Amino acid sequence: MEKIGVFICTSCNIGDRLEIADLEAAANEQGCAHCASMPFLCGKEGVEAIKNAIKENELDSVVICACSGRVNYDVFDFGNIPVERVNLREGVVWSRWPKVEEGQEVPEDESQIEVAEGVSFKDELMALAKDYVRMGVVKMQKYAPPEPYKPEEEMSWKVLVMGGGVTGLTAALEVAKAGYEAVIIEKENELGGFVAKMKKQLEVGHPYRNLQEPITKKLIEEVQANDKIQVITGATVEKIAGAPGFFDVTYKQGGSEETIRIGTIVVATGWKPYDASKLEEPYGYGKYPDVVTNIQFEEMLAKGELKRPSDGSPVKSVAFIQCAGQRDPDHLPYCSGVCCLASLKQAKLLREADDEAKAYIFYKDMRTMGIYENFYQALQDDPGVFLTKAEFKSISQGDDGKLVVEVTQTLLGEDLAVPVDLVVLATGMVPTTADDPVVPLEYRQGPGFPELELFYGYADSNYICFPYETRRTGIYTAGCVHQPMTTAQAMEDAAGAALKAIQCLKAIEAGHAVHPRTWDYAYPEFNFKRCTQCKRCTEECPFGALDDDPKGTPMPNPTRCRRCGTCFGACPERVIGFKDYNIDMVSSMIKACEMPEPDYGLFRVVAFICENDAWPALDMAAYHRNSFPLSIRFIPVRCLGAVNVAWVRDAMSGGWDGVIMLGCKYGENYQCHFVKGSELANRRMENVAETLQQLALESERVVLHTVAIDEYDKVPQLLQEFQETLEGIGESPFKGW
Amino acid sequence: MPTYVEPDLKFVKGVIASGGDTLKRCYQCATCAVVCPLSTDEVPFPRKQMILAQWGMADRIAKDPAIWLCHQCSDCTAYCPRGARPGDVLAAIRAMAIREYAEPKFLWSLYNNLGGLIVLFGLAISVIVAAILIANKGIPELESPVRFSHGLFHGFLPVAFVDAIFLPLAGFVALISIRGISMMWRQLNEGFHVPEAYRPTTGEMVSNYIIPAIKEILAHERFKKCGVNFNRFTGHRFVLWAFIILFIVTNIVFIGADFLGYHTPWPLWNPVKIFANLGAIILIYGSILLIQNRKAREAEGAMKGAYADWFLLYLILFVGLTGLGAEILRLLNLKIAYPMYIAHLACVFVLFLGLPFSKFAHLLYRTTVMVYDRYITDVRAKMEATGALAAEKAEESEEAAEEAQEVAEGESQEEAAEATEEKEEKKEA
Repeated sequence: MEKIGVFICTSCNIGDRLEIADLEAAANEQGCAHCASMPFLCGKEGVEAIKNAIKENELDSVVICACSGRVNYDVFDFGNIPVERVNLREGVVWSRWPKVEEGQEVPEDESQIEVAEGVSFKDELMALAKDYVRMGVVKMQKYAPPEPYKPEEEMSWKVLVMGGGVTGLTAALEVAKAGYEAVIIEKENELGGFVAKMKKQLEVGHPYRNLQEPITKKLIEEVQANDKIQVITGATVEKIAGAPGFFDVTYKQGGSEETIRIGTIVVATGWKPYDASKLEEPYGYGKYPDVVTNIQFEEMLAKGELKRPSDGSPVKSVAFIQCAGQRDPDHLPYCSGVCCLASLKQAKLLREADDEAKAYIFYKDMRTMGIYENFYQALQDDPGVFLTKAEFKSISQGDDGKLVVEVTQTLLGEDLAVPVDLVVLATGMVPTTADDPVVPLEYRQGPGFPELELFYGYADSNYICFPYETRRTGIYTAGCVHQPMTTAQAMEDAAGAALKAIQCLKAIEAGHAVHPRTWDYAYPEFNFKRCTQCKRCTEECPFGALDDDPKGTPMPNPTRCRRCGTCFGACPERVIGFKDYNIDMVSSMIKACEMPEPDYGLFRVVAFICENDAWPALDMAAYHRNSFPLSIRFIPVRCLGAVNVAWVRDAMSGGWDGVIMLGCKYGENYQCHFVKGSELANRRMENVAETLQQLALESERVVLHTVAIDEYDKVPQLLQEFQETLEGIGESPFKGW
Repeated sequence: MPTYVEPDLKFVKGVIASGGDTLKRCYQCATCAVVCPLSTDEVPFPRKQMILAQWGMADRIAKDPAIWLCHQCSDCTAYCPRGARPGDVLAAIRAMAIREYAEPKFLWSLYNNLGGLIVLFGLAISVIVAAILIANKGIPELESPVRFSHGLFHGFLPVAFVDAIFLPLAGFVALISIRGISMMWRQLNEGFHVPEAYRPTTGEMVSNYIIPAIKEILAHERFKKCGVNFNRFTGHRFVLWAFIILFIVTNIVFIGADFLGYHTPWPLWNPVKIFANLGAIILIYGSILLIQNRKAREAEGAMKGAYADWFLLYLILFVGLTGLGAEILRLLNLKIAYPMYIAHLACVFVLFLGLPFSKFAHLLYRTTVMVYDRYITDVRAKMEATGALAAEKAEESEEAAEEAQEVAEGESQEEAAEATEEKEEKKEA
């Protein structure tokens, strides 16, 4: 931008601790078109003054030097005029404090505190504030207004729903209710999925105490009556090519294949039961005919034939063994979430059929999700339902042909042996995605959703922030392929995924990112002339946004992209950049900082901080008036994956003493908005080490830490330790070059 | 060895029908046993009783003294996070236990539902009216001044006829009660096997356990510890004392009138008469306190009364009111005193007969359990002191060790053997 206005706020201690005139001078030196300072910039008069200044001086951008960019973003909003925020409050005056020995008073005048020979605390504080102002102005100078991505092709507004069970039906209905078209592809010949085969199901609304007819009947009728929904049964999806808004979906029905244009996709392919033949030991499945799974018992109930498979005699007593092959490292390590309710329901149906029948439920933990606690309570009141926490021990056959279930660790404080007519094993759910890609994507990174091991094969995502997002943009999962859940939960999940699918279509239409940077119109642009076809970007993109052309040159699919910048972080040739955020911008910011002469006695550290976790943690530390070393200049980045090694090289060769990177937690319970960012950054530390070796610098000068958003109390210590490390190594030899 | 379980569904349904309809809600958090002021660390209740009842283990519950150690302060009900109302459930279990010890069972049924009320009073009134008709060889002339009898064989209802009704009744009730108590005692002793050496003689039984238990009951020590409010504690104590007073004066009058010829009515200044009237007033006052308390408790949801509870309270109140009423009406020389007297005798008849069948039976069984509790606690303490209890436990664990040995092999076998040896050494020491 050309005509940059700089506005410095003097309130919130900024005017008390900093020399505002010096800051204005720094801004002018850096080349701003207009500079002003005033108290309460965020107040009515302040905002009005900025608006007037924009008009009078024909400013094309503003730099607000006040509080953190994480607050008051709604106040400092000037329409088309881009705004950069320089964090003088949380970043300087609220988080940098002189060291005080115990018992000593802090001197009023900070210029009286000597921090190095001939350097006062005030000098260093001002140096920091001035660097921030300069970086702010430079950043705006390197900024270009982004333009929305508008492909020439016409986008499709259709939502494909894969699976016609409760989830799929609900998703399609929700899409139609919102005014859009949906296509259901179901592999079976009938809609309804598993629930349609039940005798009764738990009620899907208040008071969550009773049973109801399967909801699928009503849903199917509604779907069939809705002209916005196209139903294709007996069909399988064979191929999905393209990108959100422009998917070409090929399905096979009977012997013929057909391709349709689709906008976004809701995957509701559900689950299948765990293979019970693996449960012969110790549960006796297959060994005793009267040991059945909960699925088989559901079928018996639906048929109304409560007879023992062995001899056809009536079933008068049933033992339900919960968690059979679940929460067990040898089988399914997780809880399927619905089996406790299923067994309670089956017990109720058994008792309704025969008032003298007895139902025993042996559970590890009674888990009735949500308000279904009500159903559990209702069942507890049934005199013929006997419940106890227990560990299954063994099963054997008595002389009278009855099965004897032995359990231990019961609530009765003793081991029990219970003779029953039938044993029902509560076997668990296996998501359809566990051993099948389900979405046959024609992506460079392959079909299916990557790395589902984190979720035991479920097509789940970052559960902390984004429940419906998969790692394939424009494809949302719902129902039991997403997580184990009840019918009621699946319906809610379906509605959520359907609305997300529509939101994605709207984002494509507007030409901005879908998620999580929903407002972001910029997208990565490639300078292909300098591309060496190294493929790092296509491999590292967490969302599979980049395909290859036959030569290996990346082919961007902007509608798949989430604007994390991982690609530009990965690119060794620095050919990738956004209009409003690029490698040159950050390199220039680093260079804009004033570097002291050699033997200055104090350090300069640049910190790249994740704006989603580390930045809020640092702001919170500032609100607690914790102290950070004066040497550190923080540069927020959208993701640690978007940190290019070039920046580290620029800093280190420019005389900076160290670089610290603060990213979010990665691994099993990762918190990254872009799934892999800080993990990739950590992997790239090898390249950093190489760079340092080339420069003959100590490897300890560049470190990476993970910080969760709530770890504000640990950050100051972390930074202090790094400062002490540098003190041990000494000043960078590159100073003064 | 695991416990072989065949829950008694009838028992569970019975508890539910007797006012314990919240029984199954318990999920064994044990809040009840913690808040109960009477529950001890050694014998905690009512958590365990809740699950035994849930699982229809009727025989186990019968052997368990804890259900009678509860005085139903309902703290457990107030604190139960699940609304399982253990206080009411234990009351229902006690009602079931009374039925268990009662014979014939149809009498229990009469005392436990509203229909039975008509039958019982119909029976009582017809017996009394029949006696009056026989004694007077037809409808009696209602004398003035009013008096209910003069002499053994003369009057409205001669003393001998009253005796002819109530003595056999007392005999029957005593028989059923003794049968019930001995049944209970047998069952209680099945719960914990007391070795021969630790069994007391009858004399020791009376002096060490029965008399202290009765003293405790008279003072209402446990009841007080139960943390119930003033009305319930005082009311219950008054009713108990009133019954004792009335029992004593009735016996004095029985001997005086029947054998010594001091015919009733006795003058008001007679010390026995004064004592009797005092008893009647205390009875009425105490039962009113109890009724008020129960009403208040039910209104606040702390208790859920069953029919049997209200039946007994009002019956006691009516025994007092009709008794005192008949006396006053007689002194006022109003002929309505005669039907009032019949009503009083009918109430007394129903109350008497109800001793082993109505909630009144808690007098028998709670007393029995309080004796048993003193006895078994003492025996356990003695066995502990001499090491017999540990020996018994060691025997059990040795058995377990042997079992373990059978399963284990090699080293673990040796270890188990060592462990057994160690245990034996300890035993010798």
